Amino acid sequence: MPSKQELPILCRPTVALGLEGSANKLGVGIIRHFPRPATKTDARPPAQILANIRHTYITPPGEGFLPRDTAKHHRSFVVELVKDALKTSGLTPDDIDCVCFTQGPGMGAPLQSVAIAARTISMMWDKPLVGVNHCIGHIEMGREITGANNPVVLYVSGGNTQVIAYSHRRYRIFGETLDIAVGNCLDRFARTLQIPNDPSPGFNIEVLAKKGKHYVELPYTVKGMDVSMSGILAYIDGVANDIFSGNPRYAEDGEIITNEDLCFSLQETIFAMLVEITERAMAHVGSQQVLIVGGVGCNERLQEMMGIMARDRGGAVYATDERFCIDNGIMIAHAGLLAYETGFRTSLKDSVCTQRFRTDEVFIAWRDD
Amino acid sequence: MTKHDHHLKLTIPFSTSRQAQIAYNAISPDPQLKPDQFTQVLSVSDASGANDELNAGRILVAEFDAASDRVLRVGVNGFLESLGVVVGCLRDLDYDAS
Repeated sequence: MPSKQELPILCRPTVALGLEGSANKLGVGIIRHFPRPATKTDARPPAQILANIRHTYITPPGEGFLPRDTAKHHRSFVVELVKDALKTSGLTPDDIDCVCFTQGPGMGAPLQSVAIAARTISMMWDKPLVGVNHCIGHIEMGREITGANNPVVLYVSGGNTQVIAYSHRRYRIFGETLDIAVGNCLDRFARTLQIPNDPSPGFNIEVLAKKGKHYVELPYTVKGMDVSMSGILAYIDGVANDIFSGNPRYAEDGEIITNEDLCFSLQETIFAMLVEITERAMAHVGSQQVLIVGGVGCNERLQEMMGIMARDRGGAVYATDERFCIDNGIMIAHAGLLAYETGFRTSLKDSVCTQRFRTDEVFIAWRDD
Repeated sequence: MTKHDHHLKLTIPFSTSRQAQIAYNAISPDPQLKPDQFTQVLSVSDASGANDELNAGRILVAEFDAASDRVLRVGVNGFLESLGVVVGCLRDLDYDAS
């Protein structure tokens, strides 16, 4: 009977360790993939999540996170998180097939600090290294968890805003932000309002928005397949600062405009823009499924608005919970393991991180559709 | 290596040559952000032990060259932070690889 390591990879279960640190979330995940069944018609069994641990660097209200401090946070916690992940999974280094890490896109110093840990672990345990594109991690984890087989993907986070559709071994970008990400717009407005960053500024804006009653008209900036957020942010910052300096605004019914109203108005506007460009992509591609991934994908109002549009078209919206939409290590382990199973490896000299890493740069060797 | 006036040489001893080599491989791939102002050259001491049998291959040597003492300090600190990650992993996550 051949030993575990001798069988070709696709005939035995494989396990990957994944490290994520492109922004202020440090994530470590361990995932197991099962072999494809003998008959092509049977679906592959679902992946098994053995550990998914995250530690977030949270700054005081009114402050964003800077690369240097974020990198310091990641350096301080990465070893502990890997230890915890191994303990949770009950595995030893022997059981791991490959070490996956986020190679980009993201913030330089934080990415590099996690890459160094990944390289070290890969060499200590003598396991191959696999560099992963952060966006691909989100997409593949979303597909795995929701079972959406070929959706239009809306990837929305603090650092990215893209509408993506799969075609011929690439995740193609159909539309994107022309300036800042939607999550960045929300996070920065949270700073303007001095909203706490715990657990995340976006979550706290969502809580406030649910209590909003009056819609304040904001610029609406969809440009074809793309969106622009920086003008909306500048405008609403101006409205907020104007109110703070003693010029209250009133709604038509005479009630004063509150922070809750501003949060509500911002969400309604930017989410409507995202629904529009997603719908445009669905029409182009002829897809009825929408998969929302990325931290902003946790937002229930966005899911609701997208759901209304999708159902109007006879389709459905798919989303994951905060374990997977917020940056995490398991998605890196998952996407990395998919690549590893096709023979993909990252050499040390190719393991340098990159702040810009387009989603369509990755060859999706593991899909044959 | 005397492009600049400010230099520093660090010699970091590890328990085994395997560990020194891992540290070298983990840190050396990354390029410097401002190569015209700061250079960092890493090497591992001679494994044959021809000059120093006791430390054969166990020493990570880091030589820095900077345009000013501030740049030197910032650059060396950056190296030490990266080294800290490697050392932490070696200490807490390594196999019993003796």
